[in-house]
Amino acid sequence: MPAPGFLVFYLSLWVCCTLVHYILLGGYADLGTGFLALDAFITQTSLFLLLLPLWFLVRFRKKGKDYSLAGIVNALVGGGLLLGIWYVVMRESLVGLLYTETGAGELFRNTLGLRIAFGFLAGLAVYHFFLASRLHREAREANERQVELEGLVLQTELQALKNQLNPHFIYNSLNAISSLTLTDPEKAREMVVKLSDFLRYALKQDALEMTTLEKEMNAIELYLEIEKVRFGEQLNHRFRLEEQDKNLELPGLILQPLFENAVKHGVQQLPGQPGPAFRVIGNEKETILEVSNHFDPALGRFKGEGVGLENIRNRLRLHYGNGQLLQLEKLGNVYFARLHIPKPAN
Amino acid sequence: MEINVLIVDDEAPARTLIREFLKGHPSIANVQECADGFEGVKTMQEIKPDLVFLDIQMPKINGLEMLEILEPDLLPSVIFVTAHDEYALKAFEVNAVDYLLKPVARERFDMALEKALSRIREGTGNQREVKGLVSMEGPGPRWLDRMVVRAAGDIHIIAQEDVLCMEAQDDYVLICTEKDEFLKKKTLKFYEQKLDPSVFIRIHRSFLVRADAIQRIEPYSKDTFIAILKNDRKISVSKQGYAGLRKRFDF
Repeated sequence: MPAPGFLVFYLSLWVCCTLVHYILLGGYADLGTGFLALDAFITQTSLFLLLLPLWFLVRFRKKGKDYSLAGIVNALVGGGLLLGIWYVVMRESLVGLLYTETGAGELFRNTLGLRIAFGFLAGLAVYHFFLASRLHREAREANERQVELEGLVLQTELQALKNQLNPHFIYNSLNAISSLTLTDPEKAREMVVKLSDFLRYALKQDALEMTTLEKEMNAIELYLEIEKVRFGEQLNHRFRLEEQDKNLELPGLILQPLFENAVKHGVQQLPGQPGPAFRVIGNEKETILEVSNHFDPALGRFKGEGVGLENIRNRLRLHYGNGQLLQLEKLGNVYFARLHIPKPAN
Repeated sequence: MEINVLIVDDEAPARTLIREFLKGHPSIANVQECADGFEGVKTMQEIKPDLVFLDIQMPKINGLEMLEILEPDLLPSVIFVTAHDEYALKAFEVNAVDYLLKPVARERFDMALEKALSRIREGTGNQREVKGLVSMEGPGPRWLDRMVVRAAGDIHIIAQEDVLCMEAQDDYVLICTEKDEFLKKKTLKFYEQKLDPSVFIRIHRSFLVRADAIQRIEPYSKDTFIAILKNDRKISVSKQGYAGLRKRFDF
């Protein structure tokens, strides 16, 4: 079914043509206004009614072959047929009924050429108008299918990005626990439990899963407690969250690589330095989660990018449509990693 | 025969584990520990241990870089101990005694220790000189991003960003930064291949230069030119070098 706007357009076109016909005929022949009006009305109305079936020609045409030989022949034949009918209608109604005096019959014959030409042009225009309308509709449908397809691809990509926890963290921690079994078995037992609690969170199957900031920070605290065993007591691992931030939704395990980098470039390189710091900054359009650490600028290599950060960017792109939500900054000897979590639209 | 052992690892529990595993072995005389690469190099020079348990991923400089800057005749037997399995090939290249993956299994440890002891007894213990490889190929940046050099007993880490130019000097390369110069026993060709060619360009048989450190280029003789760097240092440009520069800067 054609859209309502379409019908409005068609009707206005019919009205315009009728008026134009009336005016032109008035200028050409000397007839009473009644006759002029009726002539215009009958001609144009019958034309526009007869052109409507062109819609079916368009609707059921072979897609993509609009300007092929077959398509053109089709259109011409169909159009021709309709024009033929129109001619008959015109002749019977105008000559037979309206212009019963001989003079008007002549008028009809004289203006016939113009009428047919006009009818042909109108047919052409209407046909293309129908075609454009139909093409627009088809394009929109194709677009919707495309969007749906992209949605599916996104889902698959997300699945592939799950479980990007750095395995070396696990091996190094197990080594540390192994060592503790010889020197401090009680602590070893504690660490085994902490590691398994952390892994339970980190290895969740569903990468699409969103978690709350509170849950994420609990996991981060576990993670840092494990790192403390490897690197020393100064790792601060208690973070206080404001009430309103606790339920902030974010993709699970998205902060962990930032903390891992902070430990690697901070505490691990500078024993004695405080561990990574964390804070939450909120504004109207987003919540910024900031992880920062001291580093030693004298150490030439500072890998700003790594697989972990790449992964975060990909996940942000897939969840929020924007890969630039991770911002990194160096100020003096402090490194800042900021995640900009957009606030939901409502 | 009793041997002296050094353990180099930035994680205390990891060092303790090796120490514990060494307990009870009759051939071990002394065990010392170091928590980072700099300490490790210093200690290796001071006490000249027979065997070193070396972690690879460490802060400041890593295990492989450490071996690179030691005098070749000072190289002891090395057993790498690491959570990363990707350096195994490299370890093989430098003729390490063994490569232990963390978490360390006691049986594997014992086997590695036996291997080391027999190599030391036979006198084939020492590491092969670490030539031409330490650029951490494999995971990580494709191009060299830093160099480690020894100068007057100190260890310097030079970031790739700070290198202005390099000059070939027989078996060595003179690495020039804005304020300093360092000698390193490598060839210019090595650096030409290992440094990002979009950043560094070979403009002469003896010179490799950082492209955006060039302030201007002046003619010198019929076919040769002089490149003047940001710190006013002048570098010869050969005919081919000039062609390369023209192509690079499009003039």
